Amino acid sequence: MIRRLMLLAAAMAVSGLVVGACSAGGTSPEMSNARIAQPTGPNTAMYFTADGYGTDDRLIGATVDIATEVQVHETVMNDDGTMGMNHVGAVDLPAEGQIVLEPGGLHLMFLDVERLEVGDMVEVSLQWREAGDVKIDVEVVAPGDTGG
Amino acid sequence: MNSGDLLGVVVDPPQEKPTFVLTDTSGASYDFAEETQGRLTLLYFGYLNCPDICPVHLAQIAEVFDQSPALGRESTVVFVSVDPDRDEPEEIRSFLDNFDSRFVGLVGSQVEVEAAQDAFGMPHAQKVGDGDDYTINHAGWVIAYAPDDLNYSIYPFGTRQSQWTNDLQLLAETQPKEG
Repeated sequence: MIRRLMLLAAAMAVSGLVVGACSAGGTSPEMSNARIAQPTGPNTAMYFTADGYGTDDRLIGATVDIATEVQVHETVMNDDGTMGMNHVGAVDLPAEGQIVLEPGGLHLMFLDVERLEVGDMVEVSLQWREAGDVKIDVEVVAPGDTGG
Repeated sequence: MNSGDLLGVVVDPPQEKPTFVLTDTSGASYDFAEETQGRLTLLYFGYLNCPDICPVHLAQIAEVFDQSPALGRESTVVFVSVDPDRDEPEEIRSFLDNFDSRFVGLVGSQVEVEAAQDAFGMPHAQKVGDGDDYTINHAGWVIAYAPDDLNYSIYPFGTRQSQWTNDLQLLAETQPKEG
């Protein structure tokens, strides 16, 4: 019974990668809706949306002062209905596309993160293959407020 | 309660509450069926290094209890660690206190935790990767028991706050079994 329901649940899972028709000029990805979940354990997650800017680019990593390491991860639904987390090396951002990091899909995982309060602002340096390092200030939100 | 009004994934027919015995974060033995008998009960198997989906479920449930304190008093939320190698009881306590200090955290050996998952017909959580830098594949949903100790619905990741609010109110209306 439970296994069958889990497969049903799999159908309700959200996907992390959306390639849409967005277009913008400039020399680096346009980032929006960035937020960091207030840490509740040793690790936490950051989410954001990046729009293409006319050049094919690729997110290859990130650095931040408040964590020992940042990894690009993707939460996935396995064939047996369980959820897992894959360490993905990079995420492509097509010239006219968009990448969406959101709960249940792609996220930046901060390892051994410091304690943070809701409302804190954290400077994050995102590393893009073409655009280079792009710094953004990201707000810390409550763990339940990380959705869209 | 009409289970057709539930917004979670409905379990038909409803399932009896199985039991397992693990250890709570204070070191006391915890018999799941006995401790939660007659109470709205939410059971989740997770781990502390899970940054993405585990905190969201717990935060959503805590939010319902903030909005409806009576519901919080009538309910028991049980978090079972599927990472016995890393999750220390005091760390689990600290983790749960971020959401609600009444949430119960349980630990056990690998064999005990797998037996608990077997009781619910769930696949075992599995380590992926080597060394300390592993992740865990695990069931991402919450199992809900109404006060009559029956499971009418489960809640996958992606359940909305409004769905939690609707369903916990409905489930709480179910009367405990006589006896």
